[in-house]
Order: sequence, then structure tokens, then C-alpha cells
Amino acid sequence: MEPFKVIIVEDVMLELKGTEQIFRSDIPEAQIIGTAQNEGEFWKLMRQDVPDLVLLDLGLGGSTTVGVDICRQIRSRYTSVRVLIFTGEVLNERLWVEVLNAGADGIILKTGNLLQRDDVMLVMHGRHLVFNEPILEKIMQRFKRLVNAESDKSDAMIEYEIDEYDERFLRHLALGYTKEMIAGLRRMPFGAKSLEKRQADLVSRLFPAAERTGINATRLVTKAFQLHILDVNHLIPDED
Amino acid sequence: MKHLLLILLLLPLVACQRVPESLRNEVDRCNERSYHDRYIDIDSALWYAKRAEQLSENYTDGRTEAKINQAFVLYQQMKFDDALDLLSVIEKTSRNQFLLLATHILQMKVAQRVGDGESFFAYRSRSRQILDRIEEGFEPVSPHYAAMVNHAFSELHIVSSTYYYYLGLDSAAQAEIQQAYDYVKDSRDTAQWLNYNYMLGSGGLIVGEKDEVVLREFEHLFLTYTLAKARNYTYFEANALQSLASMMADTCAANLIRQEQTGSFNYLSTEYPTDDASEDLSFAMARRTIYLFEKNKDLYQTACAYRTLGELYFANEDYELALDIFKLALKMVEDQQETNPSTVNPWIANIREKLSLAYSALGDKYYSDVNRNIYLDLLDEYRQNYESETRLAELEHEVTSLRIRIYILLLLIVVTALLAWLFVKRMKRSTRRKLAHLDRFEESEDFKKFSEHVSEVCAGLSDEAELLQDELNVSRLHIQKYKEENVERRAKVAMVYSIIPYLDRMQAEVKKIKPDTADNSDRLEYIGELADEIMHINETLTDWIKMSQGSLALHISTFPLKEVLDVVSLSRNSFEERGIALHIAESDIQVKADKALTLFMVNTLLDNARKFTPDGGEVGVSVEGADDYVEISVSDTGVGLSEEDCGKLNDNKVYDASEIGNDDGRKGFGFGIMNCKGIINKYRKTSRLFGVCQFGVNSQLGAGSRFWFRLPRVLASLLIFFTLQPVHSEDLTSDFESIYDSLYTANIDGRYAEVVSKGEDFLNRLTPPFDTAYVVLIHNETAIAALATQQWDIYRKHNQECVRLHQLFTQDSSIPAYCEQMQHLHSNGILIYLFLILFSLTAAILFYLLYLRHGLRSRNIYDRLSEALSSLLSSADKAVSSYSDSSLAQLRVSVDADHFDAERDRIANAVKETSENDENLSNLASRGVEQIAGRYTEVRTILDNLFNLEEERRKALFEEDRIYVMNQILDNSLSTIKHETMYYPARAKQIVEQMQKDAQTESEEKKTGSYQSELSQLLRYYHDVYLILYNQAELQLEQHHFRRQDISVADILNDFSALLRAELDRRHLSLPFTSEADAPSAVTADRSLLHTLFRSLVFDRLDTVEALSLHAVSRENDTLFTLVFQGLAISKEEADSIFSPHGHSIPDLVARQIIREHDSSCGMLGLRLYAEPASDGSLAISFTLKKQTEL
Repeated sequence: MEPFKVIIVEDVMLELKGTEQIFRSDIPEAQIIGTAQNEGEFWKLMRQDVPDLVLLDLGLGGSTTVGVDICRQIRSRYTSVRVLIFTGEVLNERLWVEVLNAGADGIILKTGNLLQRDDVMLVMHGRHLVFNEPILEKIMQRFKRLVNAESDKSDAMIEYEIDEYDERFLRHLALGYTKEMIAGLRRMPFGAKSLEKRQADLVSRLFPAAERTGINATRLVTKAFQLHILDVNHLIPDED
Repeated sequence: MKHLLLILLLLPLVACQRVPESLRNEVDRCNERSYHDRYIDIDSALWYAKRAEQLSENYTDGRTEAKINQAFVLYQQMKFDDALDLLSVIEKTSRNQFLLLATHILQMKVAQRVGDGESFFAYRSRSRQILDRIEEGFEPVSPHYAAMVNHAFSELHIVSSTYYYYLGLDSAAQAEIQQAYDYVKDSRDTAQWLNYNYMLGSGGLIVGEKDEVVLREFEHLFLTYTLAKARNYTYFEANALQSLASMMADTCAANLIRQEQTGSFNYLSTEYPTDDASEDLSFAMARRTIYLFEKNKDLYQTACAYRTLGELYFANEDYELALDIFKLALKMVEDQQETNPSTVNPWIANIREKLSLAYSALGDKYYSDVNRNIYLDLLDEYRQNYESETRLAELEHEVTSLRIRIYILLLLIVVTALLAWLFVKRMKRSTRRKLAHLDRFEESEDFKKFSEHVSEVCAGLSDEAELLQDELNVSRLHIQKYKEENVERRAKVAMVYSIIPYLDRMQAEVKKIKPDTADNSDRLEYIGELADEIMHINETLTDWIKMSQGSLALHISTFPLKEVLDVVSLSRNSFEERGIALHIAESDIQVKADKALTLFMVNTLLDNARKFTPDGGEVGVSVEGADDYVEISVSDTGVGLSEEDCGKLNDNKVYDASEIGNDDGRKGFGFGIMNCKGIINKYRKTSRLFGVCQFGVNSQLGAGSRFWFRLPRVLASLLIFFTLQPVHSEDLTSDFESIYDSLYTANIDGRYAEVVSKGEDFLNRLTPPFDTAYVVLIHNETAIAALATQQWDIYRKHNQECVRLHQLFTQDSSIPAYCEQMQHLHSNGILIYLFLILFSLTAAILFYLLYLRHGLRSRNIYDRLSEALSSLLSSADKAVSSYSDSSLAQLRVSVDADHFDAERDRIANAVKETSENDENLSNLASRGVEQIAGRYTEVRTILDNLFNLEEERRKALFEEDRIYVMNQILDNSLSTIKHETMYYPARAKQIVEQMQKDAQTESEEKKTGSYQSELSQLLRYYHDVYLILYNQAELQLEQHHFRRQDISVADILNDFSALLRAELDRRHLSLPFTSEADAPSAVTADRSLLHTLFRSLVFDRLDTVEALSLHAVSRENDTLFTLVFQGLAISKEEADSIFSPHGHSIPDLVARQIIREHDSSCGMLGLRLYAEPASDGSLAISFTLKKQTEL
């Protein structure tokens, strides 16, 4: 591959040393045109020569999240520069999302195998969302959970024999509609009285016999959430 | 009025009947003769009575009297049912009150003899009514009736006396016989005089010394005997003789009489000479008695006399003969009973008892028991009657009280009329006064008093509020302190965390070492440097921990464990929701420990137990006290732990908590147990007193677990004293019950002697309170045993006591005829009563209509208004009173019970309604209402403030405890990290050095490979342990204490100045400092954390700085604060490393932590904190805070 220019932003000398070593030994194409230990130094370097890649640590000095802001500014000022985050924030997931929103091309956590040639190369080839293994693992976990939740939902629909009216009824109950209001929905062909009946029927389907007494609408809706019949992320009223 | 009614009622009996005078005289004469002969010759009495009936023709009263006399004969012949039938016919047909009186008296006599108490009292009450009328002035018209009335009076008392005597109501009996004396003393009725004397002589009615009583009774009997004999009153002669015989049978009494009444005694001795040496004169007298009664055909008395004779033989120990005689007596009564069912139960009972005695004496236990049981049953039946009698006595009492009420009512009518007149007079005057009272309500005495009361209560509540405020301030200070300590610990955790990237790097580098190539030196050197840096950070951490050791001491106090258990029991619901029963032990044990931490430990263990116990399981908290410690344990019926896991929990300091547990998907014990162990270790380290502290787990797979810990116990001697005190009343009953049971069983087994001695002993020692039902039973058992062992005295004593107590205490039961009776007896009285009420009501209404209505109406309005005001005032005063001198909890209860607001609205409405369009009046009253409400509101305002303060204080206390516990746990975690991981970096460094040495040697066999694997193993292990411990600490950080608020920059600058000034004063330093802001703005921050930030950044530098300034510059999204420390020259490198985790200036790391917390809690990432050398050789430290945009 063609040689490319890199600026490393890292406030801890010892870590900087290690990172430089990785570049030297594993990624010889990279030409380190400068290293910066704080924000001021970094912008000074940027003014001198614009690199192809910035390897950015999120925490500098006393500010542990300053990297997010730096990344955002790089994105707005130097559109062609690729930003790879290299951070020790192995637990702060919110920070990852923030920095991706700020325009980072990838995040490498300072754990496991650290910075690897392949990851840097992917970024240099224009790939976005490059992550090293620990992050990918976390992403997969979350993804699986999401998928499972969805399949739980369809299972529940079948198991508890929930038809579209049941679902609509429960969803609007959860949204705080009264039975009269629900009966007035365009796609709800039932009156308030039969909704009353439907509610009793739902109680008998969703609750085991021993627990059926004293179930009000709130408890019923909560149960629907617990059984994944309703999804809190998709709690939207029908358009009328 | 009453007399009028009386006359109306008695009219029939004064109406003269047109009967020839001669016929009337003849019939009356026959009747008188029959009456005279009734006790002399019963046949003659009957003959004359029948003759009178034959002669009577249209003289109905005469015929009726004849029938009464016939009924008396039937009575004497024990034909009680026939007598009663006859009498009830008379009762229905006759309207002559004197004859009815005689009828009722005779009915009473029959009732007394057959033991029908209900009827007895009914007839007695009817007789009494007639006698009352006679006493009130209705004199009989003829001497014939006068004698009858006199007889009725005396007979009423004598029969009543007899009746009470048989019931054992001695004092009532004595009172009755004394009243009888008034009627017999001047009477010419010899029979009644004999009757009276015989009653007195036959026992039980004379009070006094024993000897004196015997002598007096003898006198009365002797008088009766001699007089009756002289006048041929066989009945009384026989009766007196019988009693005398009984008396003579008693040797003591006989001797006494021989000495004191020698003449009378000798007379009797000559009358009744004895021909058998073994017999005294009493036998002869008894035999004579039998003869006389038989002659008189008086069956009842004959049987009675046989019984007496039997008793004499019994006393003479001639048991067989006695038994035969008793049997004969019984047969006589029973034969009689066959033809006449109504009979003399108490009397049969008496004979049965004698039979029981006689059989016992002859050794026939079986028949003795049979007769005793019949005896007791009969007594019981008799007793039942007595209960209804009591009811009827009550009824009689009611009639009397009704009469009294009528008198009172009359009196009231008069008094009311008088008062009404006075009232009208005073009405006008008081109306004027009332208007004045309304007009100047605030000056009224009541309002002034209320006002003073309000001021008093307000003062009291304000004091309370001040106290609470002080406590709140103390709590807030604590929280501030703990928060500072907390952020410091967070900084430490962050420092711990900063090691992890190094560790990762080391591992990555080690992996890259190539054993076959020669040159790994750069790599090895780098690994070495990383190890050095880790060690360096460890050292800093160690220093830091050492430095702050002791700053967070345990809060040791002595407290009852109950306080902790009570809080814990609040979580019962969360257990029940999961179908787990939670049992929490009761305990009054006191311990010495840190309360907040103890609560934390119990809660932690309970959370674990809940997690691992399935539906339907049980979780228990128990407390067991030993001499010097208390063991608190939480046990469950959950899944349990393997031996291996138990071992890990008990022995290892560090383990992977997520590996503990079974493979059923419920692994993972969390760090709770580790934290608990940490706390126990901290106790042990704190003082030797806590040497008893221990933590442990006992568990078996599938059989549940028990987690326990021990704390030092404090003995509460006072508590022990109190628990020993109470004696339960249940014990008393069970005590009696057991005694009775043992006696009963002994009797069944035939161990009579034992029963007698035990029963006697127990009853002699008896002191109140006791359970009467059991005492009766015990007396009975003792009596039975004495009977069996033929100890007659003991038997008599216990039998008497048993009967007496039994009569005194038997359950009550209702009588159906009660209402009917009441109606009948009340009707007359009620009629009068109602008439009087009607009369007075009419009078009152007339009075009202003619005089009062107008005056009252106008006055009533003033009255109601002032009443309304004073009722409001009193309810306000009551409400205010409830707020004085009470605890906060009571105050809350009082607030709940306070309905003043509702009351005020009600009164305000009432005032409007009452004023009836009179605006002036309405305003006057409303002003009064507002004045009261105004004062009341003052109290409520203070009270509300007090409650708010209390809530704040509670919240603060809660927060205080929480942060405190969290800090303790963080401390423990940090110190474990320090201890447990110190070794690894040093060892890694050692290996690296060996590898470096190895690389330099020219040896053939390079050991790089094996070193590499050893190193990577070591690092992996180090990494794992480190992560576990870090996670434990990190978990605590999840609880946030960040209090986000909007603060103006000016306030921040002021806070800074104040902090700085205080610190300078403390250190006696002077330092020029300035602070300024470019524009007014506000930021989002935690104010108390900002204080800590300033302290951390500035205080350590105060010694070397020459001048200090703080500028605030407001920017687009944030505000930049810059602290310039003049005279603090610093290089760029130094400036860069100030806030790096490896910077080693601890306060600066705390500052970094604070900015990080603002970063994550204020909704803006990327807050800055940096240091740079300024141009004039000074240090500038800058930080940013999120700008508050909506100012």
C-alpha cells in the first residue's frame, strides 16, 4: 500500500511509545508526521501538515472526553482526514456512540490485541465502523439480545393468541387511551362494552388462574410488556 | 293523680254485695274455723272449708275464701299440683283484692316448697303490689279481712325468709324474719306467732356467738313446743320437737342447754324418758315427731321427721338402721311424687345426700356415688330456678324505680315551670349581652386564651423546628464530607483502572516476542517500562490509601438488634411477591457495631437468599446470643452451594464471584459476600473488642444455605429483669386444672386418703385470685374422697363449701317469659308515666307557642352565632392543643385527625345561613371566624415547615448512611486490590530482567520461549484478578450522588472566595486574590463537588503561590474558568502530566475525577481540564462547565 501520514494524539508518554512501536513494526507504510500530548499541540500540528489518519485518544490530561470534541472539529474542518479512536475507555459505551456520532471512522479499545495492522488498513481503505474484537463482541451481544426480543414477541403473539386488535387495544391502553377513545379509533371495530370483555379475556389469557383477581388495566399492560407482546420502543398510536 | 288511679283500680272490692248478713256471718265463721284448725287438725280444717263452700250460695267472696282454705289443706297434704290448680282458678275469677292477696301468699308458699323460684317471685311481687296499696291507705273494711291482711304481711316475710334460707342467702333470710316480727308481735294469730318462733328456732336466722345462738334457738323452739302443745297446734308441736331432737343429738348443744336452761331441759327429759342406754332423749323426741306428723297426715313433714331420726341413728353409728330409715323417707316422698309431680326437690336432695352418706358408711361405694350424683343433679336443677328468680327480683326493682321516676318527673315539671319564668326574665338581658359578645369577639376571654395558647404552641413547635434544622445541618455536613471522601475514592478507582491499559499492552507485547529471533530487546525494555509504571502507580495508590487511613472510622454504637430487624422486615413484600416466606426473629439483644453497616450486611445476605430461593421457599433471619457475641444468620431453603464453593467463600479473599453457584443458569453471587467479609475484617482491624467478629457460610447442595456473622454482644441487664417479671393468668387456670385432674384421677383410682390430704392442703393454701369453677370441683372431689374414707366432718365442710360456691357462681341463662312479665308489671306505671310526659309536653308546647317563640327566635340567632364561634374556637383550640408537647409521629397523627378546615367551612356556611340576610350580623360573625382561622393557620404553617424539615432530615440521614456504606466498601475494595495484586508487576519485571539477561548470554539454549509462556501466564492471571477486584469497586460507583443544579457564575466565584479566605485564615496566610467573570451567566454543576474541586486544585499550592486569580469566560456552550497561580513556574511537560493518572498529585486526580463526573452527569461530553505554563512564569489551570442556556 501507498505510504500515508499519521498524527498520533496520546497524552501518556509510555503509551505513545508503545503505539509508535506498533506502527514501526507492523505498519511500516504509516509515516508518523507528529505526535501530540494535548489539544493545543494537536491543532498546531494540523495547521502545519494535514495527515491522512489521526489516531486519537479520547482522554487528554484532565479532560477524559475531550477526544469527542476534537473528533467533531476534525470532521467539520478536514473532511478527508480519517479518524481512528484509540482509547482505554473500555466500559463507557455511551462515549463510543458519542464519538461515532462525532464522525470517527472506527474505535479500537486499548485491550486485547490493541492496535492491529488490519484495522488501520481497513480504515485507510475507506471502511467506516472499524472496531477491534472487544467492541465487536459487545455489539454482537446487544444485537443478539435485540433479535431474541423480537422473536420473543412473535412467540408471545402465537402463544397467547394475540390478534391485531388485541395488540392495538393493549398498545393504546399503554398510551393512556380510555376504552371509549380506543373504541373510537378508525381501525377498531369494537364498542367500549366489547373492549371491556376483551380486556377480561386478555386477563384470562395472560395470567395464570391463581393470579387473575384484581388485575387492572395498568397491570395488564405491564404484563403485556413483560411477555414482549408490547415493545416499549415501538409504542406509537395508530394514525387516525 | 296517683290516688285517683288507685281508687279506680280498687273500686270493685269496695262495692258491696247484696248478701244476707246471717249467711255471711255463718260462712265467715266456717272459714275462720278452717283457718284456725289448719295447723291443729287438718281434717277439721278441710271439713269447715267445704262446709263454708256449701253454705256460701251467692256470697262469692265467702266461697272463694273457702276454696283458699281447701287449697291450704291440699298444700299440707303435698298435693301441690291440685292446690295450684285450685288457686289459679281463684286468681282468675275473684276480684276481691284481699282474697287475691291470700291466694298469692299461698301460691308463694307452694312455689317455695316445690322450689319453683320463678313462680315464687312472681307471686311475691303480686302480693307486694296489693300490700303496697294497702299500706298507702286502703284499709280493709271488716276485721275479718284485717286479720287476713295481717296474716298476709307476716306470711310474706316468713315464707320469703324460708325461701332465702334454703338458698343459702342467710342475710336476706335474717332480714325477712326480722320484718315479720312487726306483724306477729301484736297479732292475736297464735299460728303465725308459732310459725315465727319456730322459724327463728329452727336454725340459721340468729346471728351471734355459737353458744348464744344455740341457747336462743332453744328458747324459741321450747316456746313453740310448749305453746303449740298447750293449744293443740300439732303441726308446730311436731316441728318444734323435730328441731329440738336434732339439737339434742348434738352432745355439746345438749350439755349447754342442760346447764343454762336446766328447767326446760328437765321438762323435756321427763317428757321423753330414754329406755335404751345407747339412746338419749333425742331419739324419743324424733319418734314422737313422726307420730305427730303421721297423725296430722302431713306427709312432707313425716318424711322430714324420718330423716331426722335417720340422722340420729347415723350419728349413733347405727348405719344400717339409718339407711333403712332414709330409704323409708325417700320412698314416702317419691310415692307422693308419683301422684303429684310437683315436689320438694331440695328436700329430696337432702335425703339423697344422707343416703349417700349412709351407703358410704356401710362401705357400699357404688350406691354412695349414685346417691351423691342424684344429690348434685337436684341441687343443680334447684339452682337453675334461682337464676330466673334473680331476674324477677330485678323486675320488681324496676317497678319500684319506675315509681320513683314518676315522682321525679312530677318534681321536674314544677321546677321547669319555675325555671321557664326565670328564663323569660333573663332572656332579654342575655340577648343584649350576646350581641356585644359577637361585636367584640377578639376581646373575649376565650379568644384571648386561645390566642395565648397558639403563641405557646407556636413557640414550642419553632423550638422543635430549630432542633431539626440543627440536626439537618449536621447531616448535610456529614454528607458533604462523605461526598468529598467518595469522590476521592472514585479518583482512586480511576487510578486503579488506569493500570488496565498497561496490562493489556504488556500482554500484547509479550505475545509478540519471537523466541527464535534474537532481538527482542526493544520489546522487553518496553515491557519492563510498563511494569515499572504499574508498580509506580501501585506505590502512589498505596501511599494514598495509607494517607487516608483512619479518616473514615467506623461508627460504632450500642444498639438493639431489633432496630435493624425492624427495617429489614419492611422488605417482606418483595419476598412475598416471589412466593417466598420471610421469617424474621424477635430479639431484644443489644450489640456493639456500626448500625449502617450491620443493616447493609443483613440486607445483602437477604438479597442473595432471595435470589437463590425458589418459589415456595423460606428465608429466615435469626439471632442467637452467646456470652460475648451475637450470631446473626440468614438461612434459606434455596439451591445451596457445593462444598467447593463454600470453601471458596469461607477461605479465599479473592474469587470470581460469577463462578460461584450451580450450573442451572443461576450462577453469580455478586460481590455482596466479598463486601460483607470486607466489613467483618475491618471490624477486626479496628479494635480487639471486635475479635469475636466472624463471617461464615454453611451450605449443602440442594439443601439451602446459612450465611452468618458475629458481632460483639452487650448485655442489657435491665431487659432481662423485665422479662422475668410477668406471671400469666393462664398459668393460674392451668395450675388449678392440673390439681383438679390429679384429684379426679386419684378418686377414680381409689386413692381417697391422698385426695383428702392433697385437697385440704391445696384449699387451705388458697389465696385470691382463683378460678372458682375449679375450686368448686376441687371441693367436690375432696368431699367425695372424705365420704369414701368416712371422714364426716371433712365431708360436711367441703360439701357445704361446694354447694355454697356452686350456688354463687353458675352461669346465667335467659328466660323466655321475661318480656311478658315485664309488660304486665310495668303497664300501670308506664301508663301514668306516659300521661305525665304527654302532659308536660303539651304544657311546654303551649308555653312555647304563647310566650317564647318570638323572643327565642331573635335571640336564637345571636345564640347560634356565638355558639358556632365558640364551637369553632374550641375545635381550633383542640387542634392546637394536639400540636403541643408531642413527638413528630404523634404530630402527624394529630394532623390527620385535624378537621379544622372542614369545620371552618361548615361554620362559615352555618353563619351565613343563620344570619338570615342580616348583612351586618353576618359580617360580625364572619370576622370572628377569620380571626380564629388566622391564628390557627399560624400554627399550621410552622407545623408544615416542621414536617418538611423532618422529611429533609430523613432524606439526609438516608443519603448519609448510603454514602457512608459505599465509602466503606470502596475502601475495603481498594485495600484488597492493593494487597492482592502488589506482587504481580514486580514478578513480571523480574522475568523480563531474566529474559534480558538471557538474551545477552551466549548460551546455546535460550529459554526465551519458556520465559515468555511464564510471563504471559502470570500476566493473564494478574489481569483476571485485577478485573474481578476492579469490577467489585466499580459496581459501587454506579450509585450516583451527583446533584445537578444550575448555579450562577457569580455564586461560584463567591463560593471560591469564601473557601479560600477561610483556608487562608486557618493557615494564617495572606494572599492577594481576585475573581472576575466577563458576563453574568450560569452553569450546570454540583455545587458541593465544585467546592471540592477548588479545594483540590488550590489548597496544596497555597504555600508556594504569590497571587491567585480566577476568571470566568462565558463561551458558546460552556464557561471557561481559569485559575492563575502567579509565581508558580512550571515546565510544559510538568503541566501536561499534572492530570494524567500517573501524575501522582492526588488532589489533582480528585479534580480530574470531579470534571469527569460533571462530564457524564451534566449532559455534555468534552468538558476540559488542563494546565499550562502562562507567559509570565505562572501556572494556569483551566476547566470548563456546561453553560446553562436558559438564564
